Amino acid sequence: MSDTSTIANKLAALLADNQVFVGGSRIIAQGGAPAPLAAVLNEVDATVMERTLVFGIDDVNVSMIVSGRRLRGIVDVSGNLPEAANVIGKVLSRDEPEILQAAGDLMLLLCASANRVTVRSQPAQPLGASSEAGISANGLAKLWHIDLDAKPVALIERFLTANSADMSAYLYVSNGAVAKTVGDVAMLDALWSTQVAEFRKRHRAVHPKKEGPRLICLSEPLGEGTTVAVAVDGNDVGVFSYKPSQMPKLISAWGNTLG
Amino acid sequence: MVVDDLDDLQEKFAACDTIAFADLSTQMILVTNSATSLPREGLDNLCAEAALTMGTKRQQFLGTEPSASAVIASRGQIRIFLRAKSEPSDVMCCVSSSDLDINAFLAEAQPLLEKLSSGA
Repeated sequence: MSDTSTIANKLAALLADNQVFVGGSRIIAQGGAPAPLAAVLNEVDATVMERTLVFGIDDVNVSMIVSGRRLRGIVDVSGNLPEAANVIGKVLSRDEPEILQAAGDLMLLLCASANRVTVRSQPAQPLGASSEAGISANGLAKLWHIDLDAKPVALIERFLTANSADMSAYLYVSNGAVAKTVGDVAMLDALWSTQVAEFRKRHRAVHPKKEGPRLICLSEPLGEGTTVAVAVDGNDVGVFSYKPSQMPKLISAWGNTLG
Repeated sequence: MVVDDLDDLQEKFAACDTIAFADLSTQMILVTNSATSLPREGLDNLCAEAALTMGTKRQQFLGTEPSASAVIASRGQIRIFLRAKSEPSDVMCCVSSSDLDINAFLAEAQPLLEKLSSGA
């Protein structure tokens, strides 16, 4: 990204009026969009003055000292995580690759399946010597293999991927074309090809004002013991089968994905 | 009284706004809990959605057989449809906020539906 476009993007972020706050913290990622760790690093990249940024990654709070668009170090992690022990209070430096890697492992662990990430800016706390500048957000992205400009994964794909362990098989359709299949999808493919479009058309007629994303779970639509679910978001559709006992969990996960 | 049974169920599950007993053969809501906020048109749509989603003896739009139950989750809302085992045209429809304990609700709702369907 050029300096000009970087500045333009940051000005646009400052002017944005669609920011959402919860309990005084700003939501920067929800349901996996954007990617949680990319969202964290983008906040680091947007912070020039020295601050403590407190990231709420689901129920874990991570306090980082950030200055000059660089992460200087992590000063606190709630919950007594053993993975945090080697990182807390240490200034990040390329001269200390083990600490850098441990910080990356910790953040990847926390962000891997994070549903919501928030940030709150607080006054800076002392950490190391002022000459210890830390690592830039872009530098960390390279070291930790994070694409800061990655296109957010579509809601349905995100839901299917995150909850595949609770599904027997799934079919992901994007803009009318089957984009991904997992497991034995012969029956799901038949339903998609012959019934889903007509069902959606009729459903729109019943609920013309309810066009938002929705998940429909059916019990025994193909005979005893069978399950089928259809997740819909605009032109994206997921069709999957699941263990009957997992239905409430999947409904809950869907709610979390929607945010 | 059926309405009392539906009210009792709704009192146990405060997340539920509407609990209705319906007949899919005529696509009519027969009784609702007394505190439902849905107007008549909303109840008609709910019954039509139950028939469309679970299917009827004559027609299925998703699947090859009438489904035993269906759950539709949208942002902030869950709609649950249950079919009576003894009389497949009899269904229970529920509109709830998304914090409903689905397992607990199903454990109470299915026996009540069977009771209402059998006229006991």
